[in-house]
Amino acid sequence: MTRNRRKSKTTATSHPELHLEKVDPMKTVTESMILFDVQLQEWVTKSAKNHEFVLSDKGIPASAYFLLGSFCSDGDIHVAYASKCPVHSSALEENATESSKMLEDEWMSDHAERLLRMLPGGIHVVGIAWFSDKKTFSDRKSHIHKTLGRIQKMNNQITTANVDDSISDNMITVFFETPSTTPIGAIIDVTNRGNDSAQKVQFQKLEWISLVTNASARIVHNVPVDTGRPTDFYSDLVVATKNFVNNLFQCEFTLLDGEIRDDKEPLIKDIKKNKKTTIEAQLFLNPLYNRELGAIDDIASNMHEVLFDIEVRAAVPIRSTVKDAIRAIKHHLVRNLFARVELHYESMEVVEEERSPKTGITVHQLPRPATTVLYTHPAILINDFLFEADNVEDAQKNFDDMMDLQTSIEHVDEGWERALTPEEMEAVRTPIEDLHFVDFDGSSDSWCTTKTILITIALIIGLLASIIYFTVAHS
Amino acid sequence: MTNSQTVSLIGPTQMAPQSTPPPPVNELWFIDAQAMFQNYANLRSFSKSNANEINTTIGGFVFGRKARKQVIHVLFAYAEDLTESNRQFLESSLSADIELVGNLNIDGQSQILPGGQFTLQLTSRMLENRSISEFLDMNVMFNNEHVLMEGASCVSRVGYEWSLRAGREQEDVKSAAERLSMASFRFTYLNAEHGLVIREQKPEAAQQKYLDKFSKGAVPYKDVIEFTAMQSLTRDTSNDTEDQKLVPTVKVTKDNKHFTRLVTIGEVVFPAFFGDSSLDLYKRSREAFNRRANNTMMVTVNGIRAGRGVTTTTSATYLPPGWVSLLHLQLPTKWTDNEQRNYRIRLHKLFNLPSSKPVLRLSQALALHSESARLTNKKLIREPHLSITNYQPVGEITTVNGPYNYHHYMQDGIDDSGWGCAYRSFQTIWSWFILNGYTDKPVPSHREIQQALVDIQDKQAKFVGSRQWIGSTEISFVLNELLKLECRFIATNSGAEVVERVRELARHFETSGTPVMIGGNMLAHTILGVDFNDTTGETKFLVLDPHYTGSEDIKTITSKGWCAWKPASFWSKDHFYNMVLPQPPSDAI
Repeated sequence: MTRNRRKSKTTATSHPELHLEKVDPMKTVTESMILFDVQLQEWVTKSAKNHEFVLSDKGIPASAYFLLGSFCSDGDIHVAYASKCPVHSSALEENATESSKMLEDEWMSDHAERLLRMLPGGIHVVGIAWFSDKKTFSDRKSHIHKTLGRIQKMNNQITTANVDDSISDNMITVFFETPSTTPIGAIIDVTNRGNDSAQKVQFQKLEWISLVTNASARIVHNVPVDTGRPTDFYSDLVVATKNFVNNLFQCEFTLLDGEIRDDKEPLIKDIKKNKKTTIEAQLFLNPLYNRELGAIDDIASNMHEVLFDIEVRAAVPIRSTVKDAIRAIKHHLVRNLFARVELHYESMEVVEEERSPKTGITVHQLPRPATTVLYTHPAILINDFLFEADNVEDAQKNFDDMMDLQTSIEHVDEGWERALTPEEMEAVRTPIEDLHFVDFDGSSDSWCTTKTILITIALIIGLLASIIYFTVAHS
Repeated sequence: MTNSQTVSLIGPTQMAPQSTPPPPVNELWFIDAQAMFQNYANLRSFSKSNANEINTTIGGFVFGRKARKQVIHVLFAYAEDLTESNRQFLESSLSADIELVGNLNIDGQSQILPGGQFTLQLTSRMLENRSISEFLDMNVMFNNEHVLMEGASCVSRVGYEWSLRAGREQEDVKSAAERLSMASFRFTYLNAEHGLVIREQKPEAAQQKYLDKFSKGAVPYKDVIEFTAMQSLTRDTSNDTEDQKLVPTVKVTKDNKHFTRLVTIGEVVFPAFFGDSSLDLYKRSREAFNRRANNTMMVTVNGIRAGRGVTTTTSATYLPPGWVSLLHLQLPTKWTDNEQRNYRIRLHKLFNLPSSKPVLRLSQALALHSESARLTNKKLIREPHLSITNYQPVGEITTVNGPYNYHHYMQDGIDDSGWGCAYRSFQTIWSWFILNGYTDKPVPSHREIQQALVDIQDKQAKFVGSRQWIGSTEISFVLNELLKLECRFIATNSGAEVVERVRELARHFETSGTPVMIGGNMLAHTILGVDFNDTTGETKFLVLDPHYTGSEDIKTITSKGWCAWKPASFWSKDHFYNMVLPQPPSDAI
């Protein structure tokens, strides 16, 4: 089989002094690379052995891992961590069928989606690592590519709400023909019928830097009731926040450490001298976005008010550009919000929500975050989301189940947010406009009161007239 | 705005004249007494049309800069207008660095509102006689000094959206404005070109002399730093009372109630003075933003109260005559002409502006922002005669009063070379009426001018679209037809007679101040001023020549004589000339 080597459009800008292996003399400057963090070498060895064991003991033909990392500004793909895709529980049974032992793309995609919800901005599921014999990999390659396409699509939905094309179309596969531990890498263009090109894999010491900010807003939008569109909590909320997300991604300004930075310049100007572990950011919306002077009448048929105050902890490779750093921050905000919306929507299928029939107002609380860090890369903060009845032990278990992170209770932080008290819930339910503010003109109260009385009288007269009409018409 | 429906918070009180010497003052303030006298005269000039106000007590508000001890505005008002809401409206319309600093009493009668730290002692005789010495004798803490105009203008545009429930629009407008003001700390002003950031900051983080390279020697009406206003999603959480935030909530309302979504595009303008720190500028930007929100609220509430429904407003910034700081208003956009006129009359009274001259028309607003509304083509050269240098007067100069645009051949893609000079002179005159607030109608094209002449049956229908030239008579017809203007004529039999009529022209420029069209010798020109020596009889004419076919290059226009002082011999002795002197209406506001 001839290897089709495709040149990347981006010039590689790796630092030679960070290489732990000799540079391949055949490598050209225009190629992007797949870079594994050097500590993943241990993972490769361990995983290859583990696969040999499950193959001989359980007859599982392949082991798959989701590769978590970043699409670097220079076109390289950096991998920080690998998270195992579990096999279906039926595959471990004594009488398991051969088909149940295979990793179906839907099964893998669902698991990847749950992983995506846990990742900070700037960190994505960038590909899949596959341990098997050569024949199994060849037979499954098309399915793997399909899975990657689905992952990329889900990533776009949860990270950009499908309003921005800032998620890379390239995903990677890394094949290990067991028992060998030599990686065989390929880059797949998921938008071009899964065409792949072989790519060298290298192990380097990789570093991520943390981007810190917070974001709070109140989004108000009357979602139109349209029979041509599915009406459910999730779909409505996507519509309600679309203007906000568009504004966020199209806004040309973000301050980094209080400064306006040029998109093209490197985030860290001198990496050798850098002592920063975090960069503070300030996010903005354009108050003129999609606004035109005017007064428009409307009806609150499906009014959505989204209120949030979220801490943002994105992470990008230290060699990123300013533009990609800003993208990561925005990705974090959207992903953090939509991950909770998805989880809440899924939980709504189980729990019957309470409704206030008198006011036509329903209030939903989204789940709260619990976090831990990737111990090899402290800049990468992993999120789990807990419902009101969940506790920190649930988060600990989820980190272990989902990412093989055996973290102690002390390293799980659930103190970021809390649920609303009943009083606070009632305050949210009350229209904000009814809250007391300083009255600029004392006479307006009497005017309003008089007007209210007049309206009430008019309504009563109308009601009486209707009753009279009804009585007369049927007498 | 109709007459205020509110009642003054404090009724009039009688104060005995001071019988003891005033206490010694520790600080010296500065005030322009002449400007104050003019304000009083302006307000009194309105009373002739309203018998109820003849004997009404007059009080007022004193606005200024505490830090600099400057009185900037003394705004007189009749007793019924001395309300807290009017004070807030006035303050919300003034520059962000100006606040209420004092009150005043006239002839011992005082209307005291909270906020002032001194009271001006005035008498009606002093005000009517414009006696500065008497004023200073009674107010020893003041120096009479003309306050200089200074500082650059920082300008940006902000959009905000308010949801107003049907039947509760007034309360919702007030609460929305209040909420917006409370959120004013979230607005950051950025200028990427110069790397400027004006945002919330701690005092220790302030950068000193932040905009000095822009504000040194600057004046606010033309030295502008344009910012992009951004609404911050990020806030300073260091002062939060709780370590934990609340989880996100989604509230869904399906009560089918009607509401109005009101979108306003506000222009936030605040001054930057030499020596200001970034923190000073941030505080001022917040104040300017709050004033814009409050101004919008007040205009909207009064519109609703007057039965006009929810009012959309547009921002306008003015430099009224005699003022040294800017005036910032939110003007309703969809009221009828009569409603808008009544509102302007109301504003003229509140701000002590002239009673018979437009000041607050939209066309007179300063176009500080690159996207500010303009009624005339911004590419045209404005007031080219102001760029004439090295002219040596021969006598007393009188010129056009107010701005105008230079209209000449080949503009707007119309090749009217050889026949369009009078049309262009007409367009220049029309632009004066726009820029001085007498009309909002755009400058007519050649075709529209011709159509007007056909409409009044002065020309036949085939005249429209032709290349026929027109003269002074036709210009006066069209001005009357389209703008209801009256024109005076000066007819002469020769160029020498034009010179003999120079006194009439001088008086015209002194009293009316409009450009004058002169036609004759198969040509048309615009006279912008005269220079006349009464002793020697020497005369020169400031002439704007519409025959220019070049680009909008002020240097060429002034150096090549397209806008220049011409000698008396410029007018041919062998031809007659007719001059059209448009008369601005005397009751326009």
